[in-house]
Amino acid sequence: MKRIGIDVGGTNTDAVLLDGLRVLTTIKSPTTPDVTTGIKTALAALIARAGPEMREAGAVIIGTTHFVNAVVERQRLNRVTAVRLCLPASSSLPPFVDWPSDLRELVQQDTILLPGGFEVDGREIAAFDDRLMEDAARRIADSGVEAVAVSGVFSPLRGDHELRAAEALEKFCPNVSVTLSRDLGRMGLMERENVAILNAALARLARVTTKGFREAIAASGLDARLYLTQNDGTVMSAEAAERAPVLCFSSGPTNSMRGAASLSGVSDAIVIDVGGTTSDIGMLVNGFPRQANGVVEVGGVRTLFRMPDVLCLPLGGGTRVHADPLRLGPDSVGYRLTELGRVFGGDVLTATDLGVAAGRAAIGARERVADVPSATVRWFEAAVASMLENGIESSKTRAGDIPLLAVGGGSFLIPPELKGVSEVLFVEHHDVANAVGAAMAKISGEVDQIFSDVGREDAIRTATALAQERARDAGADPGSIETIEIEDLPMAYMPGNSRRVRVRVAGELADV
Amino acid sequence: MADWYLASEDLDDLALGCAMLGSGGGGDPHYAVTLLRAMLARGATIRIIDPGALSDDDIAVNVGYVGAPFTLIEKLIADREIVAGIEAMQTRLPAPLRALIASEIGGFNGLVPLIAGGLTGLPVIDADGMGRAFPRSDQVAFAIYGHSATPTVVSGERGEAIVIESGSCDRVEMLVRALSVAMGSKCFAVDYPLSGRDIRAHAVPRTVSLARGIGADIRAAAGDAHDPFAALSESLRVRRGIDCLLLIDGIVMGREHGTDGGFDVGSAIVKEPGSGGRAVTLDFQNEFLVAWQDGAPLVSTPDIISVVDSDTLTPITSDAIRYGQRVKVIALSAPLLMRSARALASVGPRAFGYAFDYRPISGGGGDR
Repeated sequence: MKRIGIDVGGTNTDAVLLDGLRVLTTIKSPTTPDVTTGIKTALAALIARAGPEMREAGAVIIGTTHFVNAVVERQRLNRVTAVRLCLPASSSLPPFVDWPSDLRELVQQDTILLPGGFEVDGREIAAFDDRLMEDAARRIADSGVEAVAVSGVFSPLRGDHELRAAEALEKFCPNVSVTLSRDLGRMGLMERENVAILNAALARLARVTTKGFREAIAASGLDARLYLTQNDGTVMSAEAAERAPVLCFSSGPTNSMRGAASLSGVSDAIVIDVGGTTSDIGMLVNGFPRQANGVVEVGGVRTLFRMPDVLCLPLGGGTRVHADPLRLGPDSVGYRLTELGRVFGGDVLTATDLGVAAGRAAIGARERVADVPSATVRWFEAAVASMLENGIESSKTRAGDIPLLAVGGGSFLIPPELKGVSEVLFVEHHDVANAVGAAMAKISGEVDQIFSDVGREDAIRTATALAQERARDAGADPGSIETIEIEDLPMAYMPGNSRRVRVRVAGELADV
Repeated sequence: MADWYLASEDLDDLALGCAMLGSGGGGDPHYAVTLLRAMLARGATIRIIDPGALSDDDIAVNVGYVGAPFTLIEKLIADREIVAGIEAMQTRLPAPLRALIASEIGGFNGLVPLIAGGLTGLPVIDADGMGRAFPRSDQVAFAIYGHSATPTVVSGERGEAIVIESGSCDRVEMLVRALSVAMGSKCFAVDYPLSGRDIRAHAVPRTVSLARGIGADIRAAAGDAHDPFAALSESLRVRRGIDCLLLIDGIVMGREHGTDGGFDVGSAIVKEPGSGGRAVTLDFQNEFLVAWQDGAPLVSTPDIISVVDSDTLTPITSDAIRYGQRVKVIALSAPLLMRSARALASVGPRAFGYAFDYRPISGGGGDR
């Protein structure tokens, strides 16, 4: 199936047309403040270049930072009422308690704590109280709030109380958008609840944005399904993204790593994306970015959900090279590289200039760096190698040498030989790796659950079957589903030999 | 030392210091810090008093949570369980409670008495029962030096409180752990009623101030562009009377673990970069217990072993150790109270099944 991948970045919107894994056409166009117009422009440019082949595209897959930017910029968010099923437990730390005050004032409509939630062994902390829930739902309807986030203690383990809350909300306030924490987050009530609240706060923006994307596709005359890429390198349907915009938060680095995997055909490697100001280093495992285990702050809010584990180093094409003593960065001329860099006619010595002096790339006027002493060039190459080698060592998940995939506009700065690396692969189309990653994203299913009194093998088998079912429900072709990641943790203190099992599977988009 | 009142500005330093003294265990202080910040914002007054301020016959009790760190991130703190436990304990005491003390300064539990103090109005003693964190509640100095754990009160979010009237310290530990499981693998425990005299003799003194100070030292040292560890080590020795050793500066090469008797048990390996670099293996049972090199113990419990981020010096708990982290492994000298022959029988390497004797890291300098 032919597919179009679009990466909406801070500066450029990149678009590619793919046939299977083959890149047919690529374009770059400037990102516009109005995301829809940017997509329309990119599609028009792609159609102009690719011609009638474009009509065969069955899917448009978009990676966007629009939602995370809304949180970071405190713009375009709607108010939220948080309902937590926990009483009598967990009462001292109510929803929003650890939010930055500016964001809390913008988002918090109301917080309601109700009896419910579960113990770690699956018992009810308290019975679900239909009457109190009904009162709460009526209060929410009267408030006129647009969205509600529902959380419950140990809901990833047993979600039935959250589901009953959703039923009541559907009945008494049918026009309110409802996010359940069990659908998005991991263990850790506050962090999972924060994810749910952020998601609910994006409800209106997600509706408007996905509608805009659909219109942009329709206006281009394409008959293609719309998908959005999510943090873990897989896609979801526009309908699913509308319900779960938080899952799109980190699609930038994810798509560049996935794109590198596809363009190189290598699925276990280190990926380094060298941009203008920074380099992102991540680890590909089975073709997917390794996930961060810990807490991730988004716009000052503590969250815990699927995010790629990416190390950011201060090395980019625009990184300044200081003299006396020689020092690399950490400051960068950024997007002004083509104006200020020496080889472009400016007078600032940058990493790009040193890369050209070292003969790593033919960019601009090489004679403008002819005066750089060879000792400086050698120092620069050693400094870059040392910085990258340290970063690579911290990012690796196992001992031994592994391949490195070099992508991004500044990837020529990566030396062809590095410690801990078996070979450095410079991939074709590396400057649109993000859009390629978007175009080839798969559909996933995930399970993160506690099993008691069950053997390890049985627990993993049960979790895998459930994850496959979730992937199928999300639109994956059943025959293509593969297991991406299995993680099992025996748990301290718990009775009955408990373990927490997390399984992720992914498959190709099913043809309609 | 003078009394002091907890301020919002203290919280981040306290959390960092409690994490460092936790020796890799003790749970995440984040939730306690969040609650304390909210309580202070609402106007709560939390007073910390010096052990010297207690009269001989004043009564104080040991407070803390018992349970799985994993449960404490889902079933968060409820005021009611804390207040119910302390009220139930009060009814068993011959005189009004004068103050609260932490069972362990390490990790989450180091901050719990401050929350309880804010809820009940009782002051918190600037001291604790371990000077760090240990896996078992009967590894507290009060048990080691012969004080009774009872009456012990175990309370939960429903306001229920169970009183254990009598029993040996290890028997009480076993019962409390069983009650914790029944109550959802988390409960609040109030135990070891002590006199002011007992506290002065057998609590590790000034550890709340110490934790705050260590946090400030870490923050200051992390900003040292030249050698953060040297800056931290110097400041701990000069200002806090703690000896500090750098065991290795390297990369986590692996972590193996399993569960045993309800504890997270395993080991982690940290190796210097490059071929032929030294490697140090860390054994843990919730807390780091022994650091080995070439099959010989380098440092052992009760000295504190902490794994910190190489650059920021932020402590990393044993359950958060992952392959590839750049870390420094450092050792901090244990307080004298936890290094006596009597204490070592309970918290020394042999108490954890190792066949070697404790050798302190300090050359006698860190004699706090």
